[in-house]
Amino acid sequence: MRTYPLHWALGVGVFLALGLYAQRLGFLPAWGAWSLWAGYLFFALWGLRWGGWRAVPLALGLLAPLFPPLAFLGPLGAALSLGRALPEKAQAAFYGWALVWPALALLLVWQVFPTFYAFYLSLFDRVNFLRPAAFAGLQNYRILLEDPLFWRALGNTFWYVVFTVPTGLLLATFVAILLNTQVAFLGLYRTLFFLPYITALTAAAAVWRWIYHPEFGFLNWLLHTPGLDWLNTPTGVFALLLRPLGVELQGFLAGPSLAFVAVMAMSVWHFLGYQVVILLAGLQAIPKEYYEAAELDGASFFQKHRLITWPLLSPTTFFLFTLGLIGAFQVFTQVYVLTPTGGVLQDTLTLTFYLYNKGFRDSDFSYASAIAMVTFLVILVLTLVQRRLLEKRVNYEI
Amino acid sequence: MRSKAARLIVHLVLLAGGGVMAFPFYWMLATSFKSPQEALQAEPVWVPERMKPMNWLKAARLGDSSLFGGLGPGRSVALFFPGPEAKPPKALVPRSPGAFFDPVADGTRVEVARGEGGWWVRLTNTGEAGFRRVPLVVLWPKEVPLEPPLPPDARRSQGEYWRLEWVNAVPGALGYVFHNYLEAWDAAPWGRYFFVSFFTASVQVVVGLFLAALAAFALARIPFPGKEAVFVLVLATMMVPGEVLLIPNYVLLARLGWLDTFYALIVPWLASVFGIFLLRQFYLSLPQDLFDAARIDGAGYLTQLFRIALPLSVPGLVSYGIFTFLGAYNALLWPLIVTQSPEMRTVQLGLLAFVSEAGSDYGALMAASAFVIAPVVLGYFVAQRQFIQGIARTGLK
Amino acid sequence: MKKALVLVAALGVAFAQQVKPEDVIKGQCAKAKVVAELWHGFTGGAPKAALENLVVEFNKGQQGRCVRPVPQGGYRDLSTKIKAAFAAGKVPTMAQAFENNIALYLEAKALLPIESLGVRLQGVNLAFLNAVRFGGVVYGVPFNKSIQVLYYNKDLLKKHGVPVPATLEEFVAAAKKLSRAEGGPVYWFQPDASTFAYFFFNLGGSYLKDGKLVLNSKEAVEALTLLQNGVKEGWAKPITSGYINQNLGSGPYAFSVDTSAGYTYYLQAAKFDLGVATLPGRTKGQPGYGLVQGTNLVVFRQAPKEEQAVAKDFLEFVLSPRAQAVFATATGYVPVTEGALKDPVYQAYAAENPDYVTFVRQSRYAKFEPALAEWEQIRFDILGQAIKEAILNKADPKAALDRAQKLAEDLLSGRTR
Repeated sequence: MRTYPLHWALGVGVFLALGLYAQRLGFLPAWGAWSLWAGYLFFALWGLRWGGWRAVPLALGLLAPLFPPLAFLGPLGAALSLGRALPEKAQAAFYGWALVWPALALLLVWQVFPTFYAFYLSLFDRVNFLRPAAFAGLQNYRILLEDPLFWRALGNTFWYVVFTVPTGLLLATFVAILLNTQVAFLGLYRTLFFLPYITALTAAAAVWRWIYHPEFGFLNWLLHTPGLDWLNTPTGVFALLLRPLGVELQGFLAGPSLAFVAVMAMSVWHFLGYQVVILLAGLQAIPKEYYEAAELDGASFFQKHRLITWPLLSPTTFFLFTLGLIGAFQVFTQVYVLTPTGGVLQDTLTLTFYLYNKGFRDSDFSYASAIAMVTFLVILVLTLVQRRLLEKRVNYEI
Repeated sequence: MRSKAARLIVHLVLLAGGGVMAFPFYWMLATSFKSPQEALQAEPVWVPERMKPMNWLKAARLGDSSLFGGLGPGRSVALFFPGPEAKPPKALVPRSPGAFFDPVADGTRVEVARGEGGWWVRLTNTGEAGFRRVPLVVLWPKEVPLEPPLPPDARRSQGEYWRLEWVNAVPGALGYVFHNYLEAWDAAPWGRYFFVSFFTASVQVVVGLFLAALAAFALARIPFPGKEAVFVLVLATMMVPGEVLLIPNYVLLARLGWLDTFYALIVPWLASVFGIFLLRQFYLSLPQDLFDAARIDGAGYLTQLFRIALPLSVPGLVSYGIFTFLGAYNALLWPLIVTQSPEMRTVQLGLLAFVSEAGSDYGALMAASAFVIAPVVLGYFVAQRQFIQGIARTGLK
Repeated sequence: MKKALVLVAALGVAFAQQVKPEDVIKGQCAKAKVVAELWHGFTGGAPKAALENLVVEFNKGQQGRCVRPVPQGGYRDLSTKIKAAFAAGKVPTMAQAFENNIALYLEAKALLPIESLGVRLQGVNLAFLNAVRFGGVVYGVPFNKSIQVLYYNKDLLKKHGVPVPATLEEFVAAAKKLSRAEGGPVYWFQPDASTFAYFFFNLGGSYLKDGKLVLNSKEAVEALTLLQNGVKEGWAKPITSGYINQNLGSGPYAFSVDTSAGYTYYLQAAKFDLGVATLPGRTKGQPGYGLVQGTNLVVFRQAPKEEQAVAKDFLEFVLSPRAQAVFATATGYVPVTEGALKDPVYQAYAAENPDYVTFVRQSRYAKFEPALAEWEQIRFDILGQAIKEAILNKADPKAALDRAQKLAEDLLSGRTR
């Protein structure tokens, strides 16, 4: 018996600590925690036999039921006390895991476990902590797929992507190209474009709400549209635009409501700076020689950018596109501040907002979990589809 | 792009764009210096009275202290209104509506007296406590031209009189200019809100960075069994969108009894996949020779981490720290869900509550918005390069 | 009378030293051994201040015990936070609750019968008390009860020589006449379930038929059609951004049917001479019915015995004539006991402000919405949406309400969420 897997003792110790916490919260039966303890006992005895007195700190972990972190500190103490007595390979194994475990344990508790727990919750009937909830299988999902508000929220997410992502990317690319022409006062311009991004969305939305004010808002003065209540107009913009032509559009075809367009305009303003900074970094990474060579060949401004900038910038654009797509599913703050009720006719509802309403306003945690799981699924599918369709065209070589 | 004309066009386009981007900030600041009547104008007031230096001088003369104003017990202040003797104005200190008892209105004596070439309105504090603010209403005959000692905050028609209103007749220069800021600051415990926000964000940055650095170093530099599995797991959690975690983490916190505590604001966000990923890239880019040399000198993994990797990765840590801090300071949804008492409100929650409390007092609301974003904006001007690089780095694959 | 002055002075002193009542309470509770939390949904303004002043006054008379009011955002936030408190097993002692909240909490048997605490309920407005009676047992103490009244613009009515309308027909006729004269709609309303309830009740409607919820009755369609026609004919104006009082500056205003709790806000916002009257009804002799809103104070079964004892004393204090008088006059809520009306503070105040007498008179003609656990969701997301569809999107009232009825039935039977 030449080696002793101390990193295994550490792993079992971490699980013992987590198991003890889980038991306290009622997620794990007592026998589960005790079998983990027994597992740790096994490793502790083996360690003592192998390392002698220098492995004694391992025994500290046996006291974990009193203070769970001891199950992690025990093996750590043993490793420090054993020092060079551990072979090189065992040291790598142990310290690798010891450094990874704190972050990993937090990830397991706050991200991995909750993902499964959300799915578990979604299988029950109206969990709200007041009355005992019955197992309901996939009922929440069945209801969700016929829920008009869910579809409205999904539709709004769709419009959000269609309106904000291309607009933002085009504007940002344009600005980034201009900024990349060795223009003077680069710092000043960059600051002007970047400030909105670091501004808290809550404060920014409060300001925009004031700009959109129907009577005293700046925008109505600028556009000579006194009394236009931007944030409380539930009519779709396509319907509004085509109405003078005598065309009446209904439902999804009417487009996002004017209120939601106002929210989207504010969002484009907020995120533009981020996109500009990222694209500018991407542009600066493109070697100058390419442009010089193209200029020697007599390429025009637009030819240069179509043939050099666009392809070489595509990884950055792709990244921003993905970010915008996923971000659309998480829009909440600006909608909540600008239209606290989700729009007059629930027309500015977004997925996260709907989830918030169902979970934290109506206290139906299982239905809200179902919304979360479906959103997860949609994002997953979209990301995969997008990878297959778009990533082939992305040029990663510079 | 060589010609001057082209350069000029570039500048013009950028200026126009930058102007649009910066306009909401200007509008926020301008409104924050407006009186309610100035703010509630369909035709925008570009430069509010309170931003005009002439008025600062006028305001400095009103009140016990020329900077902060106020009216101590037994003290009085006199305002001069030039005008003919024919028709005397009336003056009163309005009662705050809905209050049972108004010490300022009840404790202030108002006298209108004829002076040379005009009227004196004299306010005297007859109470025992000092007043920081004394509102004043003067009814001024419409036919007489008006030259007030300080531009009134509101002017309405009331029968044959103009009803001139001042929110504070003893402001002092700063009290006059920053009236909305003082009003907004007094309306809620902002000091506590700022503390909660800064504490939450700082702990998240410091502890989060440390944990991420440990894990990233191990993943980048230590060959240990199961490394690939860990890395795949870390990448996989990146796929889970944040909203999936809202409900289960909330339930978990509720079961722990952690709702409405700092734990709820901080702990769930300590482990950042993104940070691990970013720092791992960084550690991978360090030359292997550094670590080999250290190992030959007999340095263990912990020594390598703390003596070599961590000090070298300071730029990476700073950029990730800025990113995390911004995220934590600006967050709304999570604090909204997990806190309830005013003591645990972050700045953003405080602002959200203020939006509904302030009602149509847009001056105060814009002032509150301004001081909520001020720390981050100031931080940006101090460490501009780090900010830009930090954000830019998040975009690197 | 002396005690009255002391109380009024106490309320005033807090202002004079510019010490907020919040901070006074903090000091009081720092020393107390038993702290009974009262979770409430007042976000600010007069109601929050008045509640805090009440608590300050109550705590002064307590040794080693205190009540601590904890604001939880709006009312809807409040009920969510209470549910979360159940999850954590740490409930407050008292909380504000609507009748429908009480129905929900009772499903979990979470509330204490008020009479079992020993709080005497004699003299409490019977209509209010019956609303919190479930299975013959009272589970809440009516607290901040508001009633709908008619707000009007005295100047405008005087200008056109229009008397204050006493019946619905007169009301519509007056609104039409004034709107024509002023060139814009003068009756302002929020297109929501509260406004709707006024017309619905006074056209003879009732939400419950044989214990079953009916949203699409003949009277409901009639009420919604009336409002919709009002907009079409140009005498009614829907307000969608904020409260009516926040919009008073924009355009000619003559009438609105709104809660008495908005009184102080109306006063602050109105640039004209504000009038308050009982609601126009079906006949001249009797005012119309107004919707009662506002909450009751409930006591949770899970709270420790000592805290419940504090709650008992506090509830009795709240019901005392003096506290009722002070709270009502500060806020525009209606006194919930008869005793308050005889209190000198109230009488002195009412003599100066006859509007308060109007509130009390109106509160005798009160109606409630159904106390269903799901009512909040029905009221905002189903009925409220149907009303908005009809008013703002010109949907057919009958069709909108039929759809609402179906949605409500689905929700109540658990077919939807």
